[in-house]
Amino acid sequence: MSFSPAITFLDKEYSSPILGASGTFGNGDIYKDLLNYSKIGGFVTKAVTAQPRAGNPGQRIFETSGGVLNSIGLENDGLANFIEQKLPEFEKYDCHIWVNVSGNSPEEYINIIETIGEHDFIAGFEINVSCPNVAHGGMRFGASADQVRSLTSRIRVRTNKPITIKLNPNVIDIVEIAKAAKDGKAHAITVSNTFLGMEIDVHKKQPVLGNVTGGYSGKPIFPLALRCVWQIRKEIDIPIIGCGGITSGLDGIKMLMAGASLLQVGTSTLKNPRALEDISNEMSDWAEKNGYSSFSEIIGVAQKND
Amino acid sequence: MERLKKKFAKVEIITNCEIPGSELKLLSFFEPTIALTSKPGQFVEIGIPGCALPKPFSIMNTQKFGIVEILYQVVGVGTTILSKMKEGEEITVLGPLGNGFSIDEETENCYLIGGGTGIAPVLFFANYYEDKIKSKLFLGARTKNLLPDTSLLPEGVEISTDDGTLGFSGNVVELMAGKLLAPAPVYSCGPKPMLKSILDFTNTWKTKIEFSLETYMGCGIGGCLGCQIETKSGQKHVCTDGPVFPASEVSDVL
Repeated sequence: MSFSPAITFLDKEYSSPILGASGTFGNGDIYKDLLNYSKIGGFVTKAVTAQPRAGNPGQRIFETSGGVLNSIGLENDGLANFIEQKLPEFEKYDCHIWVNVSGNSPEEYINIIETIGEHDFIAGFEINVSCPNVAHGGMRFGASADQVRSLTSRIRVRTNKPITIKLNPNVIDIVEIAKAAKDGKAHAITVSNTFLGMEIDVHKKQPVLGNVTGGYSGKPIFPLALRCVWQIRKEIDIPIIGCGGITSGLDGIKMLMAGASLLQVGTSTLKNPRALEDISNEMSDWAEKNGYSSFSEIIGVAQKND
Repeated sequence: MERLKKKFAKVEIITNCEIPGSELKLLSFFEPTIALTSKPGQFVEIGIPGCALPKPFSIMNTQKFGIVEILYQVVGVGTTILSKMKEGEEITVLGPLGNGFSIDEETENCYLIGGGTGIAPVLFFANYYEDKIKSKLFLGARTKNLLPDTSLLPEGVEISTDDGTLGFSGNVVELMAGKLLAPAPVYSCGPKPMLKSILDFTNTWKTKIEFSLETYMGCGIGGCLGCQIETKSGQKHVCTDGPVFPASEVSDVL
């Protein structure tokens, strides 16, 4: 039997398990000449906030120790512009689009989701409770199990679209937070986001980033993200979107083996606009060579052998 | 303006050698789409093995038959790895990116001012518009080794070095100040203090003054929003709104 890269996630068929991660893919317009969208699973939009946000001042991005530090600070044109300018384009893209939402209060998250509405071309909402680069919202919600449970359950009843909670990895016990998302009846969880880090310029004797700290991503965080997926999958049963440091097809296979059902790739796209397609192809080649007929057969297999 | 398509390609290095008489390096590769569509002031993102982010480089020249030439100096981890790569080894390239310098139909003369590796886009300008615009070229560097040998530069170029090891002793604006220059459009790329001096020097000129800015960058095509600057007309992104800006717009960030 020949291999098919298609995978079913929350009752929808994805042509590949690879999605573009939020914040690295714009709102889809940027890569349309460079990437074949029908060959990828889809992408997650840049975070939408109620009001426009200018983002953080000073230096925002820096490569260090093989990975990337960023402190963009959720720069976006706000909800009204998103609905007017970005949303109408989504119908043209031949892949699944998740909308990433960030707010300062539960009311703000709900307002954004209800205002955007339940369009057919939106696969679901990714609830960002883990941005390390803004003072309020973001990570504040994601660090408390009680807040994640409450936020999730409040959002859950206000939309018929699936929601995935993008977890914050900068916590002592990510499993506890994942349980809270499940208790709040999230359809899925995204595991996870960037790790809080920083860099110092020894000549200037000061932090490199204007925001001092930033989110660390790319290849070096892969083992950390893999561990998060593994620990959560071991304890609880909820669909997991694995995200963090995937730079090769083999990384993607490992993340599936740990228990993720869908994957996101972010930092790799910054260097290689075709990374989503390349990684997807590498995964297919590996799976086919190793006798699998679909990626779903690989999900969680390493857990069974533990 | 119609959005031009960008090309992403894996390319083999054709040349990666030291430019005679200097510490600067010349990198060239074959990528016809980029070679044929690039304009002076535009840049490419080069993906270097072992680096997580691509690195932006101004285009120094293109050849009709598809060769793209880049000038660089070894300054960090990325350029160190790049400098050790051999002919035939593979890099990735995305381009052409950014807006490039803008020229008006009636422009006949201009001043091109380059500092450090910022000489690359102005050399491209001189070459690209050779038949159309008579340009006067001023190039500056800290020291002789940071400029190509003068035999490789266009005729009539004026050179300054901070330490006086080549050409005029002093900075490039002091060199210009010693001449009686009639106002004309200025296109420049180089360190921020140099651009600031040019802005001061030309403050009574009513001509077009454009600066190509250098900054840390992520994706290079407006995806990550990592390269913002505060201009007189609000926040912009160097990769897509620039790298070339009207000088008056960016005076606060120089």
